[in-house]
Amino acid sequence: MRVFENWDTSLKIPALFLLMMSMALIRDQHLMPLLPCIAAILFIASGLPLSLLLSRFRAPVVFLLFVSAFLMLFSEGDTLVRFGPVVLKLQGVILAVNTCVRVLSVITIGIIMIHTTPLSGLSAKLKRMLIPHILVDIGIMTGRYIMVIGEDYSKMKTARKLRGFVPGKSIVRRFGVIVPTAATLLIKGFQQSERVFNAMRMRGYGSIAADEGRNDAFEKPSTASFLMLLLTVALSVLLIVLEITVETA
Amino acid sequence: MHIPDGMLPVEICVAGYAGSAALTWLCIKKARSSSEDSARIVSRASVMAAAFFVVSWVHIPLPPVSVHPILAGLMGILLGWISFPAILVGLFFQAAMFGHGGFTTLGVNALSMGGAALLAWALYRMLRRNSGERSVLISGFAAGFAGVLFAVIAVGSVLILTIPSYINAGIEVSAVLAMAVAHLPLALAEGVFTALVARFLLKVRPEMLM
Repeated sequence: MRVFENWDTSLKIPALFLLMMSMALIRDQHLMPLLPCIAAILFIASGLPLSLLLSRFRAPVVFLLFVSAFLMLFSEGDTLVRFGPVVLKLQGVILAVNTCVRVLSVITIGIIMIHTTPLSGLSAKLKRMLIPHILVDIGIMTGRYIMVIGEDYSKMKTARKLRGFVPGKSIVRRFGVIVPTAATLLIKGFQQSERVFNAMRMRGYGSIAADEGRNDAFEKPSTASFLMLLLTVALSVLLIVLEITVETA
Repeated sequence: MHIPDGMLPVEICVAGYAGSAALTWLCIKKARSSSEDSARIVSRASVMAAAFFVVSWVHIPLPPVSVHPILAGLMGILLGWISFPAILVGLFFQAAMFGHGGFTTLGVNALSMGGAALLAWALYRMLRRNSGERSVLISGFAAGFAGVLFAVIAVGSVLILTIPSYINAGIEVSAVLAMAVAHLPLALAEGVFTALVARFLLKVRPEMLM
């Protein structure tokens, strides 16, 4: 299914971001089951592989383990279960489960947002979303140079190994290898940034004439894109209204 | 160290974005007023953000393990005012590529890490008396060490203080302190790493040190 790939980026990103924020608002345990249902339906509709989702969950799950342990052990309230000196509190367990469900659901929407956004024309579309031009330019160029400098790092590691500069077990030896590696990468980055600066100036970056000369043709988003925007906004508003209603009840 | 999506209340996320927007605007304005034009800001922030992104893949030894450095202090020393927008963009790519941090919490994470970089830079400038090697080592160590601690305290405070009220306030404060103490070995390792990198750069490309 290419539902999300065909959704215009300048509408998709704000809509899904709003949905993430509205899901992050949910605190009531009765509304919590809605979040993984919404996330699961959208994830299936996106057609993204499950392996991607599981790989992206690794870092947050470690974080959530620590947070959950803290919540379960140090919350006040009724005792749920006691293992010798270790006491798990009911309110803490509910809070830990709610937190995990909410965090993983919101992360799923973020993964859909990023991994269904094509790179072509991204710069123009981000600028139409009123993100400052300078930040968009920094972002696009950073993405490009992560690949370039990442390749340089791989080559350096290989060259280092071939010359026998392996970190080894001693801390002094390890610092003796990683410090020059890191510093050399930074020096290469600095020199590259100077070349990029000269190239940008030669191409007239920042001048009014150069900006007027950019002809990013404006493509009006399709009706389907607007419909999906409306549906997503309606879902976000529904979640917000439900949370406020339950809170005030 | 980075707060994932869904952890924080929406009002904190919105405040984080507002604060980051204001600080980004201020940092770019300060960078421009020290005669950096847009092209230099974009080229320096983007390519150095990419370089730091890759350097964060280098493992610092912390027996019995190795850890990824945070690099807030080093970024502050090398990029100055531009460190904040560079960190903001770097955090976006960490969230997009590895799932570290989040998109709704990007503002808060940027304020924690970017704010730590700027504070570390201020500390570096205060402590660096001359362009001698000893001065660079001491100020570099202080910046690296402080960068980690500032970031941990900021993140820990935001997390603990936004947890609902089932938790005793005294325990909340103890938890933040415990996080800071648990990160002391990392702060020491990163202080040493930053000092040694700064000394290397002093010998090879001294103009890189702000």
